[in-house]
Amino acid sequence: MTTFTVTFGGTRFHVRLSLARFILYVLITAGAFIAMFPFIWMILTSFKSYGEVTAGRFFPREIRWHNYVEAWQAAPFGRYFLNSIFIALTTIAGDLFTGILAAYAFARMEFPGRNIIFFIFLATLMVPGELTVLPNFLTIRKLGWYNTYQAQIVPFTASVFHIFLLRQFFMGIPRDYWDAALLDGCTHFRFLRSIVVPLSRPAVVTVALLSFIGSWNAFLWPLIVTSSEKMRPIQVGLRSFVVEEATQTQLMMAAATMVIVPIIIFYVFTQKYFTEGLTMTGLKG
Amino acid sequence: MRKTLFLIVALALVVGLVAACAPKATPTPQPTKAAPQPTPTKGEEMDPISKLDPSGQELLFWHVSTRKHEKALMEIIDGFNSSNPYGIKVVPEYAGYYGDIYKKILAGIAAGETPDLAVSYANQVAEYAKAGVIVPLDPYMNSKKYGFTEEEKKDFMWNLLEGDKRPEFGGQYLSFAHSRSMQVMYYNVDWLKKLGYDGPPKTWDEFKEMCVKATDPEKGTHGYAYSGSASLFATLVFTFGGDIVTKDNQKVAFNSEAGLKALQLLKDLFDSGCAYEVAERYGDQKDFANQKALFTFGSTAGLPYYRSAIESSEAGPFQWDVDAPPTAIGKPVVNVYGPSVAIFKSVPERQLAGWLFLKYWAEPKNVAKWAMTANYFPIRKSAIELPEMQEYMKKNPQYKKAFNLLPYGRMEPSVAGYQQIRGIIADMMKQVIEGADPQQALEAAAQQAQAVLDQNK
Repeated sequence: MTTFTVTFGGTRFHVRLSLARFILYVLITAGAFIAMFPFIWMILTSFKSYGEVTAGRFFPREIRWHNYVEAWQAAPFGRYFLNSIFIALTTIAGDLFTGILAAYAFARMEFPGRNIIFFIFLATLMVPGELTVLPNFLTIRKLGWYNTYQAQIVPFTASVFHIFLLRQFFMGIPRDYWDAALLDGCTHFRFLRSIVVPLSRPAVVTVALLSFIGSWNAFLWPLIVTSSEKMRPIQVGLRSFVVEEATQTQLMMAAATMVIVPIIIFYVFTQKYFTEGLTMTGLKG
Repeated sequence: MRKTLFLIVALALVVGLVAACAPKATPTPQPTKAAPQPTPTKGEEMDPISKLDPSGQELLFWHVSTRKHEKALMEIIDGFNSSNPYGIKVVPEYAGYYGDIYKKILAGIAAGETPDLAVSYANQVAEYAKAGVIVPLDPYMNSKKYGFTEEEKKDFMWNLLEGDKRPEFGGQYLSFAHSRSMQVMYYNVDWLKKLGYDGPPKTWDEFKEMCVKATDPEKGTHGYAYSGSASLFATLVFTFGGDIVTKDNQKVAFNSEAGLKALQLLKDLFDSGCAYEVAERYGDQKDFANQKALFTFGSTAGLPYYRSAIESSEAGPFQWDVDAPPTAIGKPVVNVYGPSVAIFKSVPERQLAGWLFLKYWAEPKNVAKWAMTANYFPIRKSAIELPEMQEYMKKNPQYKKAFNLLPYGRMEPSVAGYQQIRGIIADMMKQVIEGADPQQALEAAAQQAQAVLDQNK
């Protein structure tokens, strides 16, 4: 056991660590730094001048807060923000609603052709997203949904991948629970609501987060199905920094920093479930 | 035997059924028929456009401009909306960058809903035209009442609109441009002097010689910061006297001696170590500003960004300039490019209203405003005479120098499918600088490109 002395804010801390643990921490810190590097670069770049960007300087000479002002003024970001938040939240709600019901049916209910239908569902995962743009667009036009919120929401309120993810998780819930619930006169819906969903919180939150990220980052689809600034989400605003023969990288990064703040906040609150969702393969204990 | 017969009959039935159910072939575009000849019109019968009344039309205009470009565009649109005597109103809508607007329009064509006007590259317009949604502009340009006067026509530099003309549509203009940029050679004047040269290279041999001299592995300097693109290849092929496709847009033409020489030049530059490929977009601009590279090739639209990068570079500012690329045919040639605006089919009155907006935009003060915003060149000679333009040229000597190269401008093909061919060409260049045999790479790329042309016929 070795004792390390760390000074932080004028106070000295004595940390007792084994050498192996120390090395592990150093490696983890290095790994974290590498993973965070793009973000650090993004934030530093958001304070640079155009010349500093082209000169490839890592640290800005001075902090240019003005980039943020300029970036904010470049497009109606306030409106874009509200649109993105509204679209993302409603998409999550719809996605969870269809996802949980479908996943439960595939995981727990017996009906003819269950496996075949599930495989057909899975097969659609092989269809590249770009191929669906045109048919989806024609559908939206036919429904008269051009330049509306629902055009940006409804197509994403069902995701086969999310159904698959939830189904795998639901299948890990012991059958005994269902048998016990059935004895007590529980219906499928009650069982789903009171037992399956609470037990699967990590998976549900993971799906919500994936759905949020997908919706928050969507660019081409919203651009195609909207015509007015009033309906457009934040990613369309980010595009305004791409100009011919030069991208105003510093402004783009300032805007990108503003744009990812909500995602980071969302992640901070859901981080626990997110990591659980990714690492848990079944039910513990 | 009976079984075989049965099979054949069944097969025939199925085939017949499938054929009957198949969607009807989409009607082929017929704008050539609908549009009168672009020859000067005589009398009202030859000029039905003049009888139309465009009053009160509201037009949807999809564009790609953001920030200062958008501001200038809005000024032009506001000017038109408030000054035109017909009460025409243009409603602008941002539709993403060039790739995005293209996808949006293709989706719109499939849905049967297109804007009235849209900004696109001429080769993209060629694809829209194949779907029969584009209005040829010649009848409008030539209309007695609404078209250009003879005097105005003489004022335009028509070689800058060469790409908007379509051989498949009887040589008519399918789009119109208000400004153009060109690909030029950027060079470091101070550095060239240090190397003992008092001017930029005029031939590719001189270029190579200077590149070799500027290359110093210890200092990390190179002659040429290469950023590959089909436009650069077109520039090279033009300077060797070749072409990318034939005049009638039917056949690939870059698999010629000129094409081979262009690729061989690239290979030589890379083999000798005096050229290197930049890793990031606009990395050549960055390296030029930091005096890591003596030469780059880029659009004149990038001039302000070059200037700002050079002025704020770590190593300090230096003398720099632009010129036509070196040439092997004894006279300069520059690759001129830039987006255009097309009018989509609707009703004659709306189409005419769209034309009137394009015409307003083509007025000298507007093309000048637009050119100065984008650092493009106005397509009208008289725009240059305007005091604001003269002032701008004084402040931007490189811009002025490039402007004088416009008469040597040539344009890349604007045939449908060219966007795809550009990808094929870029891959070919990549292979060659990575060591592939130029002749083989050229042949393979030409074959692929020809297949694309054939598909798009």
